[in-house]
Amino acid sequence: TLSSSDTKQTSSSLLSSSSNSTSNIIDRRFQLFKKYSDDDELMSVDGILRLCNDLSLEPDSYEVLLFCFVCRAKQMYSLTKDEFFLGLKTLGIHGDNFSELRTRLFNYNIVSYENEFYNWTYHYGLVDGQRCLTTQNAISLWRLFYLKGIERPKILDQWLNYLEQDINNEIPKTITCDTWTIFPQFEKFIELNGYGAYDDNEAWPCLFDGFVEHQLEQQQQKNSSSN
Amino acid sequence: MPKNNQSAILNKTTELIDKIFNLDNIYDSDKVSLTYMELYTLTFDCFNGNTYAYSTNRLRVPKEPAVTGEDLYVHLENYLRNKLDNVSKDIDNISNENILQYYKELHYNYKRLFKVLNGSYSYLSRRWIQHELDSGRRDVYKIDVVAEYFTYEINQAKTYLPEEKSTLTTLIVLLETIFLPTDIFNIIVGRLQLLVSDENKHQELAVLFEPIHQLTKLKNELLKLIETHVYQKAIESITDDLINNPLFYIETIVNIHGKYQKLIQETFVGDQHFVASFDKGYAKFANQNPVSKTTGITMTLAEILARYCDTLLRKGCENDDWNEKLNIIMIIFNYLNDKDVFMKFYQKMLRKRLIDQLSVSDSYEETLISEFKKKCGYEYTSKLEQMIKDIHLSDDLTNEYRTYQEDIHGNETSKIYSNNFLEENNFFSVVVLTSNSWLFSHPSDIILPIEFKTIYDNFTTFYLSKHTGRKLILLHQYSKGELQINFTTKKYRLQVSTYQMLILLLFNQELIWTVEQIQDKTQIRSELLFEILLGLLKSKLLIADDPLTLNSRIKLAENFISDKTRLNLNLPSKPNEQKDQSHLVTAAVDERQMVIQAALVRIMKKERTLKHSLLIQQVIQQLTSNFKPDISLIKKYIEILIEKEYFQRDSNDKDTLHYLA
Repeated sequence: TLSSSDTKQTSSSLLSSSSNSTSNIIDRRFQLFKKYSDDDELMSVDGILRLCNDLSLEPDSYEVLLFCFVCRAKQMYSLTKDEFFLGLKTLGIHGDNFSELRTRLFNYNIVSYENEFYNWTYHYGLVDGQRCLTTQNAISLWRLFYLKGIERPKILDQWLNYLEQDINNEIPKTITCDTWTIFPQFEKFIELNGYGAYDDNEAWPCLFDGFVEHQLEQQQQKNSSSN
Repeated sequence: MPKNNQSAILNKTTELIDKIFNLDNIYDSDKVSLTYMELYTLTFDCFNGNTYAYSTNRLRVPKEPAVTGEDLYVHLENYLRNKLDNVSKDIDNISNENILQYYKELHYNYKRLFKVLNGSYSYLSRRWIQHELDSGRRDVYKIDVVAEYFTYEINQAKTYLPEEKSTLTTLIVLLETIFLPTDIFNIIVGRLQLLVSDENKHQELAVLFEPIHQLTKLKNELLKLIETHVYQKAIESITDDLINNPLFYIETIVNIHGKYQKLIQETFVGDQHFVASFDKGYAKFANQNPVSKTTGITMTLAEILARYCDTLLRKGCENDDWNEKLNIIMIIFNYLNDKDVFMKFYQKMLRKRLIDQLSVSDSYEETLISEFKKKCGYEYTSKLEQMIKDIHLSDDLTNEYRTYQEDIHGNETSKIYSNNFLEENNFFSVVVLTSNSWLFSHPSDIILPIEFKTIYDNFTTFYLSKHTGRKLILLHQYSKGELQINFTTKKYRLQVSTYQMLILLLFNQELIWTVEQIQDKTQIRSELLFEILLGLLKSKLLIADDPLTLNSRIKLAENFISDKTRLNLNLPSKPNEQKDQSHLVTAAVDERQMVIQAALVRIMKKERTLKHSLLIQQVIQQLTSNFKPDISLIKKYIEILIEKEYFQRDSNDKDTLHYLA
């Protein structure tokens, strides 16, 4: 409803000719939406896959995640009409020009929305009423999130490796929202101070305790083998 | 000759130090370094002459040592003492306004001076102190002297700079770096380690305690050494055979405690830091589970201590030294980390003592419980107290019931009935136990024989008329009775369990039963039934074909004979006990997750918003009377509660938590 109320406000203060063009825009956006929606209200997996195809984007690409964020999609692989309109409006797309949509997505500057984008990603990744992201999904989303627009943490590979390999069989099946939310603070802390400065008595989530311990062990092994 | 030489060198030294002291401009580095070098050379020569008979062009030193390192130190000490005495006299004469200014200058100059002196004497420090320590000298002046200046400076600062606490800390750090450079520091620590590990040398430690006491850095090292030493020695004194004997084990570790406590008291005049260090080392030792190398059995301190209490409370102690034993129990109890596990064991053993009436004294039981209560609070012992109370109340209840029964039957005239009744009534006793204090497992249902059921029903009616709304459950596994055998020529009396009674009473109806029939009549579950039957067969009161199956026929041994007229058939079955122990530990540990989460929620509910670290601190504080919670465990439960939306992290500060109502 955000987009429609916005346009109403604008239309009332505009001349009739431009009000014609606003309704024209809405109409064209709606036509576009209808093309991929089964019931004029919701674009489901099927429609999104077709949209991706028409945009020449892989469904699991960074740009698709970004587009869903711009739409503030609440559910993975599903867009409501309002979400879709919001997305197009934010990107400034007035018609059904796919190459423009692609360009806008590729050039979109996400940096000022980093926090919101990051926290949104967790909830976006929850499927079928899950309360926690599965570790597998979290790993994929972390990888995708830091792929292009946001500066990639130096420890990201170590962190994801640690989760994937699960050498000590201690990685939980799910990543809690708390752990996800604190991760950026954690990675910045480590980058600034190193693993040695980490204090597991502090308020960090337990999963980081195990990770840092593992990294310190690795470092030690490296040092002793190089000596 | 040597005498002259000595005074010549010492005079020269005084002259040189004076020179440094009196230098007008301390920043004149040329002059300083010149004197510095002279002094350094002098000490170098003295010492090397001493060792190698090394001659130089500047000063000829004979083979016999003219000046020893010690002389130089004594000399330096005296010199500085005089100087400082004069300074403090001067200070007394200065008006208050100028004191700060004067002190500032003085302090600055001295700081500078000590730096120079320290440099000059550094050669000597390295060589001589090493040398002296190697040859096992009793005490080293160095520490004494250093400590004296520390105290002096610190006292000065305290007197004249009361407002500037921050300066004081800086001063101490500065003094430490000046007087205790790493190499010397390490030498002293090495020496202290020798003294600590050799218990005959603790006299020397006592001498050193006074100076070291004032040197925080050294003191901290010594504290660590004490902690490790106590731990090591205690571990070494535990032998394998002790573990199987809780009585010896507990008394041995209490003796170790006493020995080291005395030593610490004497050596360090009860300094609280040293006592704390000792406590830490001892606690670490005591809570480490002893493992028997021969049997591989691991026991927890909690279990051993509970067994120790149990043994004493069953067998009593000689010469009425209960207070002494009580003291021993409480010493170890205070060090015990897993007080919750201990309570599980204690409760189980108390249960057995109370039900089987094995306790040697009610007052022993009560005094010990009140000691636990003093230490850990009302909640910790509430179940124990309820248990004791139940037993007391049950005595009264039994008496009440007997009177009640007499009143009812008193009117009846039948004399035969009356006699029979009286005997039965006096024989009957009952113990009513509150279910949540005793934690019994409910037995599966069985069919009570009519003889027994009447009594039980009568009592139930009586009890429920007094206490409406309660429910009575018969605990067959703990009940017992007495039967009289009438079929033999000699009259035997048998003490039997409920189950045994059930089976034996069947033989009043028939002389031969199959196992299946018995099970049908009693409803005792088959595993237990076989166990009981085997026991009865062993007593030779019953006879059956071997091996025992469901179809086996069992008959009464009509020619039963025994030497004794009273037979106790109600013997406990042993092997189950071992299994129970590990179960108790896991039960206690399982309970902890609830206890920790409850504490977390309680604290947060009260505080609403709290720093993560303070929350952990408060949880530990609340729970230590029960067990020492692991920080990582607390962290884990905080995370779980965040996930369950009981708590929320502050969005701007990950270290702050909010309570969500």
